[in-house]
Amino acid sequence: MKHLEPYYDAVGRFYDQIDEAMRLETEDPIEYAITLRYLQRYIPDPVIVADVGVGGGQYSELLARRGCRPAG
Amino acid sequence: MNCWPDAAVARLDEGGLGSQIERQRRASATDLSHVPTASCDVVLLGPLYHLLTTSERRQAIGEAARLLRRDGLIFAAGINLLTYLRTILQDDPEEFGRRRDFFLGQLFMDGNIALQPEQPAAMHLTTVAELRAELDTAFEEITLVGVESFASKIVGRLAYLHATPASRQVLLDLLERTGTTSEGLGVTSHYLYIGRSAKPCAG
Repeated sequence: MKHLEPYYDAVGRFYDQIDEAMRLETEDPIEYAITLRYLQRYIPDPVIVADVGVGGGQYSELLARRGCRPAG
Repeated sequence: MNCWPDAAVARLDEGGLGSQIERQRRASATDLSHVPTASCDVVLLGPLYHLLTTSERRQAIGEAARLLRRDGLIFAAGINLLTYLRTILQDDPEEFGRRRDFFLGQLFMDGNIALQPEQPAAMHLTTVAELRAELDTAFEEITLVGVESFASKIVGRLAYLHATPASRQVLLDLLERTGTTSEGLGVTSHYLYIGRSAKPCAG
């Protein structure tokens, strides 16, 4: 996309490289667990969820398993 | 912002969930014009901490508000500036002396840091006051959570992973109880803002 600058491509590659899903679940398990608590508590299912800046996709996967439809 | 890196799409495909993806596209969080107005119930907005200017963050917040239906929910993440200082202190305190002007000046002017040494800035760190000021322009706050509260990344990770499931549950309860207090917000690494769409729905 024309308006996307190299900076954004670099950030996207960063998340592909570091395996954000692995980082969250093993390096920051508390961040992951507490965030999941709040997502589970507030988000009804099934709803449409815009996951803007999806990272490793772990939250989209969780919500999709509950019947939500990720978009972004 | 690259909204959907390949890793995320692959993860859902591997889980047999690819067909549930309503749409996915690489786009800037500041321009989501491919997503219709008032078409979403929830927005997860991670990239605020990769948008380096007030203007870009304002645009991304405006786009998130536009996507939401009436009473839709936003979950927005931020990173506590103190976390960065704590990491420098732990890893290499001489860095403070080497980059005195940055730590005492520029860092507190824009909150921006590099992901790697010697690289240009690529991450924006914030404060409770700034995060609230930016998000409250478009949303009604439900809660602001200091996600890790007293369990900083440095001491929290191993303690959590080595704890028994019963102890983990108590720890998570304690983190949740303290995470919304001033003290919990002060020491946390990550913020999680949960808000409700505050503007009248156009649709």
